[in-house]
Amino acid sequence: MTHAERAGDFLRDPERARWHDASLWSLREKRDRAATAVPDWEALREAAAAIKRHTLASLPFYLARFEERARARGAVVHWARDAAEHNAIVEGLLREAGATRVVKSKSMLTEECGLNPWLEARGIELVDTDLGERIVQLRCERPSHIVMPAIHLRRAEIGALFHAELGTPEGLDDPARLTLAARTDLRRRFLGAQAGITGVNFAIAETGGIVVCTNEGNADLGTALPPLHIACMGIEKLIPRAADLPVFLRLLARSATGQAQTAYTSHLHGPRPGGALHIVLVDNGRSALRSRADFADALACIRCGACMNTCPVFRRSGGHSYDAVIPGPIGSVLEPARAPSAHASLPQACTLCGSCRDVCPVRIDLPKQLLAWRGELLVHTPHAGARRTALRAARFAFEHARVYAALGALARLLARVLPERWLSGRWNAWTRGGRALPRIPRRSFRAELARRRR
Amino acid sequence: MSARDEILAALGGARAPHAPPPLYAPTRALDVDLFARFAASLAAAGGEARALRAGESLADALAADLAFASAARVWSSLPEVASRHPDGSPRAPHDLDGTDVALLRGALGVAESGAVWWAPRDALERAAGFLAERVVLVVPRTALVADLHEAYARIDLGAEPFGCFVCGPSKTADIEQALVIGAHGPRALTVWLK
Repeated sequence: MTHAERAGDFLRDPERARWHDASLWSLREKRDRAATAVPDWEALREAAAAIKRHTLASLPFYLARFEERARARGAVVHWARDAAEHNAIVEGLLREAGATRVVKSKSMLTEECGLNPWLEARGIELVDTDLGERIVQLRCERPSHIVMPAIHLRRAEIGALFHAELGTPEGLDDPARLTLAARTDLRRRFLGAQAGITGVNFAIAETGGIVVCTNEGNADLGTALPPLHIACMGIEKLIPRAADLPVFLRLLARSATGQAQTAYTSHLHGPRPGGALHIVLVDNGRSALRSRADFADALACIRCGACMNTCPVFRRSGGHSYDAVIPGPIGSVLEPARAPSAHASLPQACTLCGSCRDVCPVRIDLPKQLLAWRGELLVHTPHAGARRTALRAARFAFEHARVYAALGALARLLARVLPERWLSGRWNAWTRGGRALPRIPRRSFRAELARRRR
Repeated sequence: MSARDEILAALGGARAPHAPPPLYAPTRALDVDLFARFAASLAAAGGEARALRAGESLADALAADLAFASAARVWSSLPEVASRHPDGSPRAPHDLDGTDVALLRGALGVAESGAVWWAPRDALERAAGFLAERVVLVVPRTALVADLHEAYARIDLGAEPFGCFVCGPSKTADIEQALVIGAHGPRALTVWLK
């Protein structure tokens, strides 16, 4: 299935589609208010982009330095070439500790590696503790957004889910009371957990520390209670110095939700006394992406989700229409790198409007990368040959003014003489879903202009 | 080759880096009332900032706080206020579940965001700050800074295994973006400037 087909499914419920659009747009508006309140916003974006680009250029140096300093603080550093190696390392650490009850806070990396099904298949109970992730975990689906995993769901759906799973009263859909029910259930699981897994927002090469940002405090309960903490991170999360952190922290929450800062910005330097801290550094395609000059920049992403909130396609098609771990504009760049044929339709879902590039806190030129992917992925798209021929024909017409004018005249003539039923037939994507064809003018724009000038 | 060496080799090997970009120098307004700014930022994050009046002690201020006065279980990191452990002193982090109030010492406050830097001294204090229903952070009034750049310049990062910017109480908006205070951790946060 292509993105367009899955988006079509989402749009079958127009009321939900409108609600989803408005819901995400309100996040974009919050982001705008927060950004304009910071006088040096553009300078911060510039600085963040420069730091990330520098770090990625010197990534092996900073990785080696981070490893050395994290070790000096008592953390154990592991390296994983791919998802399976990552999962095996985490599983091994849990087995060694005899942990079968594990709590996890938000980590897109573990989603990418499929850690949950891996551990579940091997008898280890893994509970997602971020409320949105818990909701989608209980529904056996994947997050539809990297910051707001359950943003595609209405409160009544979550109420019904909690009624079935947590025993809340039937029909209860008040967010505060549903959250309380999840809090009560998860508090018990925090207290009973034998290990906590977290993601990593930033890793500081200079100090060997990691930084984790949450609003709920779930990463903190998951690391303050069980003795074993496993932090999983992609190798692109490095920053050189502690003094670089404020640049990113001032951008991150404002770009994501419009908050000045998340409720908790936790810095972990080594294990707590009597505990253990393991850090798993994961490549899983990142070094290959870095070697691609046209796409390496995507590794600068700090996962704020701003590009999703602003994207006119994401807002109207829903995160699940991307059928990918990371949806939206940044996902449409990252996912084809992992599995080109499976995700070939994602760059086609873009209108190249440029809004994502305008809000990206690290200034990734997403439209440029999406355009580059389109050319490269053409071989994987359905009817690639026909598409190529059509595009060549279009190019010929655009390059030859007389041909273009003649084709325009022919199209206007056909639009007048052919029956409406045929024009709005199944072959015409424009009129699918009941949309009417615009009225076709009798003259071309050029002819009309010449007539008026006379 | 080990995974480590293979990944580093794929990245081109650990050569010395080019010079990193210069440290970011923020442009700041000079005449900012740091307390007013801090209080407004913290309020936006769902917390409350209060300043001790001249001659008022923290103990006096807390005594006037009915919710605190009636709290059964109190973790205090402050010498001037006693902890209340009716079930005996906590020995493990888990024992702090059910704490009504955690009184913690904050090192500095950030006016731009309303965050307070808190670096607990041990595992018990760390757990108390997340398990308690309500957290009270006490910060010296002179320790307010304009923004995070200034904050990091003052923090001794890594002096403790755990340090945290606390910016309001625990919260979530994962159900239809409705803001709910008290997701997993504290449901209320008060910052006293003294």
